Amino acid sequence: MANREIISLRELQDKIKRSVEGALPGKFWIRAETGDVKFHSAGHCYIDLIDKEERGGVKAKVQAVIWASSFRIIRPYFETTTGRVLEKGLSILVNVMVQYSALYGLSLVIYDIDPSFTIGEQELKRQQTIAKLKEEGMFGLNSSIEIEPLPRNIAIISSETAAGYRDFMKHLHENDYGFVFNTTLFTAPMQGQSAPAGIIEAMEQVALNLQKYDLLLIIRGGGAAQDLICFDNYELALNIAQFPLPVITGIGHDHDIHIADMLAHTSVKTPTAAAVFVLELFIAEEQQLNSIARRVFLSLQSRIDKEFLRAQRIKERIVSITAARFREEEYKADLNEKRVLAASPFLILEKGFSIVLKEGKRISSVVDLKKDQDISLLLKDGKISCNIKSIQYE
Amino acid sequence: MVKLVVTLNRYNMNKDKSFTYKEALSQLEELVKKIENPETQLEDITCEVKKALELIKYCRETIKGYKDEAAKLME
Repeated sequence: MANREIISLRELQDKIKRSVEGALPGKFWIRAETGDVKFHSAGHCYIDLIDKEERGGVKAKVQAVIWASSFRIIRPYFETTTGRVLEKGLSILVNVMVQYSALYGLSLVIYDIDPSFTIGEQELKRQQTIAKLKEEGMFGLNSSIEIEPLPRNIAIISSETAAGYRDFMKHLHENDYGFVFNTTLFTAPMQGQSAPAGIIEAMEQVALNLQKYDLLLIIRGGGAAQDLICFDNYELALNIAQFPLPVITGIGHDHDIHIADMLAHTSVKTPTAAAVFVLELFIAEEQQLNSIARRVFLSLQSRIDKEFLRAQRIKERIVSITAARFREEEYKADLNEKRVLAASPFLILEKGFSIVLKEGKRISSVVDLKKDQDISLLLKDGKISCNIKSIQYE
Repeated sequence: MVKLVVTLNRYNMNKDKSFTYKEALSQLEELVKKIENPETQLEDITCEVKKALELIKYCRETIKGYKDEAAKLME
């Protein structure tokens, strides 16, 4: 016990510091993934650097710091070059020096970050996500759903305060055609790391009342590339592909297409374009209806014309048949008149003929008469009584 | 088709409502036969001729009535 060498904690820490820093002098380029990232009010940035196993477990971890003096330069360069904010889950290549502090222990001081590495990793990850989704048969899945002819019940996932959402609502509801839509907003964060999970949760909400909606729109206004990186998320893309309603994305961006767009039924560039897309479905349907209506009207018109002609011909037939019938009846009256007048003895008397009567009956043949019989002769203005003296046969 | 039924009170000198054109025609036929028949007593003939001519007039008026009515319907 007497030979024990006793040193203070501080002395030990100094030994460790000298050993560690002495054994690892200079700067190293190391690749790692970012864990928690914290920004200090003084302008320093504290990052947990980690290495993960294939299965996702953490196999190495160290605390790193970027001093404010470096971070002022590193941060804007990194963010503009990669299009990403420095946050958890990034693959980065950093230039570090090992530092040991008696108070805080081991940490790495970051002097530089190479953004091109992150871009490469990011693109690689993106391509891997696309390949995986393709392999799983997710491409073309949602777009195989047929859109209702008139999708007027629309579920929207967006952020209420987003300018893009307001543009969309204005454009859709104040349309020049008088189409009326039922829109229901499901709010979700539309940027940052919480966006994919938030959007998926909103999709689950829509799915609870699936029969109420014809279409799902995921929209947000334009933003910086780093705001939109969440739309390359695998889980989100998977949910969009498998969603039972047609999904239309209108994620304000001009250049790159995101994986969410690839798996959606239809992707358009902006929320306003999404409104136009929906309106055009209605316009197309209306035009088709109009053309059908025109065809119905025309065929009805020609049918009416045909029937009208037919009725006209029937009427003409009736007119001519009736006229013929009347002529026939008039002829009968004429004929009867002629017969009456012809048979009437008075006309004969007028003409100077006389009628022979025997006991009041007309005699037309001498056969009916005998000598010495009394007969009468009828003249137009009187009657003569006669006695037959003789009869001559002809 | 519109059934052209004309009750004859408009034209009928006998004021007999059941008297139709058809009956007038058959009466007329009978009268004509009677007039044409030499057996008919001359005293009767005067009356028959008068009746026949009245019936003919009636028939003509009836026909004209129907004709006007039909013409109106066809307008």
